[in-house]
Amino acid sequence: MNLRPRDRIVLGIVVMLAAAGAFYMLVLKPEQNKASTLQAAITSQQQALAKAESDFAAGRAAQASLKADAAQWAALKLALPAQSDIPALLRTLERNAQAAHVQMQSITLTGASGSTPSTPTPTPTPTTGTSSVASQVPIQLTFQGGYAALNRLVKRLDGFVLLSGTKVHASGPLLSIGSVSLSGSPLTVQLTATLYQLQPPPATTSPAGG
Amino acid sequence: MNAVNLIPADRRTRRMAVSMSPAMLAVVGVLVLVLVGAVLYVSASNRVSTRRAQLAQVTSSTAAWNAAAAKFGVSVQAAEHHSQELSDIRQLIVGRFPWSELLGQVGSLMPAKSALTTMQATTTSATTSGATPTPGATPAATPGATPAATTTPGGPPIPTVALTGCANSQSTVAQVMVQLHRITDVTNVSLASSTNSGSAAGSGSSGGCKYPVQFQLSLTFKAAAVPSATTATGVGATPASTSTGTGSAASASVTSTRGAAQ
Repeated sequence: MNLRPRDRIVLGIVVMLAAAGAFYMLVLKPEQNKASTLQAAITSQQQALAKAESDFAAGRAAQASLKADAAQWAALKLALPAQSDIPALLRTLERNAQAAHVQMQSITLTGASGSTPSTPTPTPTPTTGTSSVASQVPIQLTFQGGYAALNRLVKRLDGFVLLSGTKVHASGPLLSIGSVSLSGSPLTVQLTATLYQLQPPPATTSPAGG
Repeated sequence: MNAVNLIPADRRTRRMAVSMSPAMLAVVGVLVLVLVGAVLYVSASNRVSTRRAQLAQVTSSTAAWNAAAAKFGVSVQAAEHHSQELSDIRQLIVGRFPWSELLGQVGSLMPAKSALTTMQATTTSATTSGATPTPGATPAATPGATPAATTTPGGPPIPTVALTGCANSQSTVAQVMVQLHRITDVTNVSLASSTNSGSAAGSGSSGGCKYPVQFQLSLTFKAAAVPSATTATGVGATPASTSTGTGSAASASVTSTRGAAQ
């Protein structure tokens, strides 16, 4: 079969174009796809790297803040002990009553279910609203003394834990007085109050942190 | 010896024309295309190799940073828990009612020739979102009507105060009401009863009070308000128990009914 020169030229061009197309589709394009896939993986890894760096920085900051807030930790543990230290509370109340010139008459742990006053039963914290870390131990306190002295005592009890700006200062357990009942002669004040216990964290955490 | 071109000049140009024949052009074109294809392929392959290396480097860096960050996991958790605890304790502190200020104001505002015999002041024990009132923690029984305690959701507790006392006359009881209305954030002073028993201290009808007119009052506070810290100066001004005279006799009367405790 004889082809005219013009046809040969056309055929040659068509063959070359076909070869170029096949080369692109079979060789070049897969390589480009590989490069694109790798680029996407690199971008993803770079994001992961940025997150890891940010986590590292946050971890260092958290560790530094734990070290810097050691005093706050101590205040927190004093204000909200993991378990109510009733003997220490008794000593603290007695000491403050004497300092305020009133007489401590009684303390009743109304939440205690057993006969061991040193291990009161805390009331579980509600699950609604904000997640609280404290559970309650209701107590009733009775003191006897003059009006002004009893007032001084109430002020002292409130002063166990104070808030100064955002800093918590604690010299005793956090005591939230719910009611004050004054009566009798000699004057007796009955305080219904709540102590708070720190609930354990959900996971093992340590303030030491390294 | 010099080389001499024996080809005629016209033939020389014809040979050049032969070298640019279509076949030659096709060969050259194919070669060019192959060259271009090779360049493109090598370039793409290099790009793939470079990116593979880059990916490996980034992956190893990420693993290293993750491992380093994991060492601080405990600290991060502890810091978050600590922050939550501090937030809660701040809420609990802020949510407490300043009882000493209220007691100080009551003591300093009671007029002369009047005395309190009982005082029942109540808020719910839980004052913030982090706590609830405890069923067992009910206040002691109140002689007279003790209003139910209330709280403002998310705000400070609102106290309810019930007072019983005595005065030397009904007008002194009125003065007591006016004075107690001056307590910070008291919106209303309600009189439940004011009875002139006609007998003074020692008699059964007067309840041990030294004045003949027995009264029962309750104070209503406005919501989300507590006595301010600047008004707590009355506490220290309570005079001695035997005082029955003038001046700050209000708190003198309060203390005089409990003279045995002084």
